[in-house]
Amino acid sequence: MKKWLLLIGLIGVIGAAVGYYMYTKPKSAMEDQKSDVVLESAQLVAEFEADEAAAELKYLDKTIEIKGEVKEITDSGIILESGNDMVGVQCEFEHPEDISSVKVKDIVKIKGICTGKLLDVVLSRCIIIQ
Amino acid sequence: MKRVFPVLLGFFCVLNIAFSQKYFTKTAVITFESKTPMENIEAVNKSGTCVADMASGNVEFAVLVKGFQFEKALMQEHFNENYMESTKFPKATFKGKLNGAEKIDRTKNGKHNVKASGQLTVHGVTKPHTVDVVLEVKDGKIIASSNFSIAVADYNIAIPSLVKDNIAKIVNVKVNANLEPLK
Repeated sequence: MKKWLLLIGLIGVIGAAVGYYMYTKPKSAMEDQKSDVVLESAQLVAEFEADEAAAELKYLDKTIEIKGEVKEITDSGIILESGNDMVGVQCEFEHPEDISSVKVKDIVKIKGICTGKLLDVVLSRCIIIQ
Repeated sequence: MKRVFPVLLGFFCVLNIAFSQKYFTKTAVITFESKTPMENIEAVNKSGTCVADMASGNVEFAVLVKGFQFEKALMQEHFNENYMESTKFPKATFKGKLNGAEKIDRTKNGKHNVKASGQLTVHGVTKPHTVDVVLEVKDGKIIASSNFSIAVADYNIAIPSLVKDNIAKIVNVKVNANLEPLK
């Protein structure tokens, strides 16, 4: 009888520990995340322009590895050229110091999570790969 | 004559920038905080877009809900999937008027308190909202900042009873936008 109680108690403790771990778990680092899609900025923008709803279905919450030319450097990241003057790919960086050496016209490879489109298609939590 | 034209053109371009009425940014910072005795939760989004026409006072603001970054992974997941349903309602927007914007002298640095009133859309629900905004003119740019609160229930966001002590019924929203003249 005592053994049973002990076992139940133990399961309870393990459960609470796992629960606490899950609850306080920080987000996994972008470096460790596998890319779901690899493509160029022009293609991503073209797909959002052609059919935003379909592109959202395809790309929202996905980790995207994107290649493109730097059009503009902003307070929080980089905007990539897409061949379309009105729409670019806005990459928001968690650590702005990551892009301190990036210059306009550079060709860069960036990994981030697609959060949708405002004026530009937006990628969050970006890191520079190359 | 041949030389006058480019000079004149350049002059008009400069004039145009100096008197540009529209200001804009793609990197407005939106922070929201939920404070309860149990837990403080904060999330930041640095990719808000804002366009403000200082002549008419018209202002439009938009932010992608999925772009809010939380410290804890699970919170971000719950925020997107359960509360904001961000796949169904990807954007939060504000469309309205900056009352008194046209009276602001944009050639002089200084701070101005105005009220912005308009329609706030969150979680697919649109409600009229009036907020206090500080517009600071600084070297031809405008820094807009605002601090307001939203009742979660007003926007049909249901908080499960299990976590009702951890999430505030009224959340504070802070907005900070460095608006540059639109060229």
